[in-house]
Amino acid sequence: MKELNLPVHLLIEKYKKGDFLPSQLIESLIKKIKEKDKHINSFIKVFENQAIERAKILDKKIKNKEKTGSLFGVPVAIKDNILVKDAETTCASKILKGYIATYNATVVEKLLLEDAIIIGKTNMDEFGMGSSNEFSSSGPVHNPLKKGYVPGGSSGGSAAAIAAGFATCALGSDTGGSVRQPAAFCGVVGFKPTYGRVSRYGLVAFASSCDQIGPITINVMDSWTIFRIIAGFDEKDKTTFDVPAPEIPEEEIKFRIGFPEKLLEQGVEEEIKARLDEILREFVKSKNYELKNIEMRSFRYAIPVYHIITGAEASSNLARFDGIRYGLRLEGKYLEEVYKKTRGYGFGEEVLRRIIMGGFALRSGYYEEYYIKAQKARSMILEEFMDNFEKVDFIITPTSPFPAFKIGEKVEDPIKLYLSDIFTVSANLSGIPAISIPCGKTGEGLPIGMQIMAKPLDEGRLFKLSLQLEDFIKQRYGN
Amino acid sequence: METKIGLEIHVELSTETKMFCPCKNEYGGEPNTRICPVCMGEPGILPSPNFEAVKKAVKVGIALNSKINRFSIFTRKNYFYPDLPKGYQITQYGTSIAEGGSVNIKSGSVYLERINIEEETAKSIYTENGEVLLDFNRCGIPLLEIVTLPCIKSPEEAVEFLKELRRIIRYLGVSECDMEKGMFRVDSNVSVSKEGRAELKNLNSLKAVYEGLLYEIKRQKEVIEKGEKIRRETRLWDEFKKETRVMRVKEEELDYRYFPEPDLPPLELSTELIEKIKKEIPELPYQKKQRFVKLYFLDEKDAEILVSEKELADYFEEILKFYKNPEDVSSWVITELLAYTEPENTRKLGLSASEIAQLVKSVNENKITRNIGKEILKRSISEKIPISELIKKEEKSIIKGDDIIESAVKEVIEENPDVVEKYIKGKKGVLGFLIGQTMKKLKGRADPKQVGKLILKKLEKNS
Amino acid sequence: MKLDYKKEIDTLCSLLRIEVQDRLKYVEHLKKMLDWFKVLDEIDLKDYKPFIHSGFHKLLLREDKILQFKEENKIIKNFPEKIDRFLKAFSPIKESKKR
Repeated sequence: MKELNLPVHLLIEKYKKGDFLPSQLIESLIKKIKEKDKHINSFIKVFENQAIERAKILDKKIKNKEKTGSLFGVPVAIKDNILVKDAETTCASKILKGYIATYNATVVEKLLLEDAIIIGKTNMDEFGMGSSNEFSSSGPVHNPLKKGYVPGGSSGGSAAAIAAGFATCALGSDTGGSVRQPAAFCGVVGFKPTYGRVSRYGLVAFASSCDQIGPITINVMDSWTIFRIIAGFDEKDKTTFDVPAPEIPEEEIKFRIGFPEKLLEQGVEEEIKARLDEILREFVKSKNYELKNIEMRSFRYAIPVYHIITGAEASSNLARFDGIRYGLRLEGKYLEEVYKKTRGYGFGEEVLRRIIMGGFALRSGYYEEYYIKAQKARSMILEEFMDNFEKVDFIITPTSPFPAFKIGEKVEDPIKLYLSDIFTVSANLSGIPAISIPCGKTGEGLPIGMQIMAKPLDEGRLFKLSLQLEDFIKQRYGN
Repeated sequence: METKIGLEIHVELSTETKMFCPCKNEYGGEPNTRICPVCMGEPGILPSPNFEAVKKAVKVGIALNSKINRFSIFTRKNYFYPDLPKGYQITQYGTSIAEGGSVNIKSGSVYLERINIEEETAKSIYTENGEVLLDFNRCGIPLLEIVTLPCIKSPEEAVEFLKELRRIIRYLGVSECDMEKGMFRVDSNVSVSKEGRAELKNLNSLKAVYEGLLYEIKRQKEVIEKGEKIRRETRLWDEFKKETRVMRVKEEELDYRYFPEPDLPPLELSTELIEKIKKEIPELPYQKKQRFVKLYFLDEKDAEILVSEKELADYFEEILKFYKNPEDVSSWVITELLAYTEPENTRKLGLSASEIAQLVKSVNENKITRNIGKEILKRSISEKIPISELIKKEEKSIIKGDDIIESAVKEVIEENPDVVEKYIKGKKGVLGFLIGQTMKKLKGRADPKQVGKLILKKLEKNS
Repeated sequence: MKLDYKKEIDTLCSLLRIEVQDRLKYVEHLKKMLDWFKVLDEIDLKDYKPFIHSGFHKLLLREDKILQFKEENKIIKNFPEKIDRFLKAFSPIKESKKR
């Protein structure tokens, strides 16, 4: 079935015209996943029966000409750290083995209300900690575009599933680039909304002050569609905003684009730098926009700040996985032993590294020196962003300084791997929205991603620009 | 050596729902029925603070003369225990909802450091074979943590302070403060010298507070007298062995790794809200006592007893509405009614205020004797017969005619010649004895004044 | 303050209730991370307040109305061990283990 890779609106159009039924699409999709995902490993669990059952219910809606939702029959893949009721949620960790979610995440509820079909739970770096999807109790994910290469992380399964055409849309979570970076590595669109736009209720917390759920899709319009559905105030998440939904402005706006040229001088692969340069220059010329060189001095500090804060929050957020109430429980002679064995065995090495470091940052005696200092530097980063947003409407950078790398290439040096997040973490630290859109491939055939960041809650204009850029790039480089 | 005691009190707030989720806040019940993903610390949950709990906390803060912080933050206190599902407790550390404050007791004031809002842990049941069973119904109930400065000087003062604090909180109607149900719990720190102090846990009754502190002060003094140092440690009061023993020493002390709760923006209170809550604060026990003394001319001691529980004080004033004789009503309430029940349960006796009023009035008007009045009270309580009905019966059966009384008087005089002799010799005081004996013969169903008159008449005849 | 990394890792493992196979690996990692964090000493942060909360959010409190979760049995079903409706946990005391 070649219709498997259609964007949302075209897929729904086909259903409406009666070209095929949701159940037919889901059946052939599941067949495809069964056949091809063994080489990619993007899914931890495929909801074979449940998805077909639900599709059949939707079939009837078409036949009975009932009212249908805006994601009618759209197959969606969900990252395995977002709860889908009655399904196992593992976060790609041994410690959650056997935990059956007792409720739906708010975003899942919203998707279901719009008649989406959840096709399965996608692979990821354990609890969202990683940039290559190599830290998973379900094994590494392979980049569907190039065998033996990582898909990026931590939402590597979601990005790979979309790139491989296993679902129309996917949800990921982005704590330091975990939606944008894998989207860039897999040549798809990944969006991290403003912190507080989308409810985190039902997203297994990694770092509460940075986590945000975002869509991974084949194009910018689908990203907008999913974003509009999942966004909004949620009583259950006290960090969501009670503000009107964003709209894409219709009028022509002469955008001012900021490009931190100096920042790109270090560590960014030449091919990526050149591609971005070229696109931006020609794009602004064609649109008569303004391109400004800006300074982002604080980027240098962003990754250390990010690791102190997210590590600290994670050390606390992951305390609940203790073998007492759910998930893995290892035998021990007494309580302390049960705790230590369960957690020592249940968490992977990267998770242990991060919570040990994070626990340290909160220790009395070190709290001021690390946690508080990092939070001050975070204020500085936010301030620099806000100052820049006085001068420009958007800041554009590569999503990652390098394209997808070989599996195993960076896994031995954690800090080197952390550096791949250099351009993405700042958006999480300051809560601003950021999107990654594909802009062609390297000579080796690896996708290049461009990141566009905007002011908090300015998603409407961010998408307007992204749509224009997507258009421009497609015309120039094809798909 | 100067003894310094600081107390830390945890009070369960009586809200409809838990602190951070809409599960019902209720004591007991079938285990693990009032639970949800939030209070169970399931993955992906977020806290949602209860407005009513916040208001109740502010109410307590105002009543205890604390400064209400318009801006406070929630904090995570990280530690592992099976009764703590998330692996951290949401509390307040650094910026509390209320700071400072004081409670007046006889010997002065006890000063408060801060009042925090936090969440209750689950209930653990320890079985004989070393298992621990957990019931999470209690988990997440709103909790107030009230911390005093180490300014209390003796166990007696500590108990007096706790009684007063408990009474104020009960007056505010924000908690039942039932210590047996663990709704009001006390931890303490004690030091008898400048160096070294011990934390004392498991003080689950006022008796335990008193005995535990007394023991700990004695222990510390003995250690110092031996020339040793007091170790900084946490000790547990053992109510059965009547001793404190080490729970953990400072080296093992926990590092709670406090940090601001990222899931909750700061708690902001408007001045309008604080003013509104201020207006809802009822008359507090010490204010009520002053009013009772001034308005009803009661003596301090009686007033103190009457205001010990709001329920009792209200009951007393309700009786006064039907019979405005504060002195006699207070005497009846204190000596008679409280013989049957605890102050907080007076209404549970099932006696209406108007009936008590009628009883006191009937005695005062000599329609029945005081003894009969007491008898009526007893029967009304035990047999659930209305007081008015019993009074009517007694009024009918009361002996009015002189003949029966006279014959009884005659008998008494004959049976007690020695007493009569004493009277004649001038010991007029024995009259009371003779009246009493006569009343006994009449089973109390006569007016003692009338009996007295008749005895005098008879004795005059005899002499 | 001179930090004894080995001892610190032991304390952290104890505080975080984890048993790790190769302590030295974590010692090395913590050392490297703390070295890396020294880059923050370059900046003068005295004029900055800790970020903590974004300042954009206002805490909206929940009305005190009961909404009982109806699927508590699903929660209980996840208990690794249970006795009736109780969750079975472990004694914190080392000696009292009798199984």
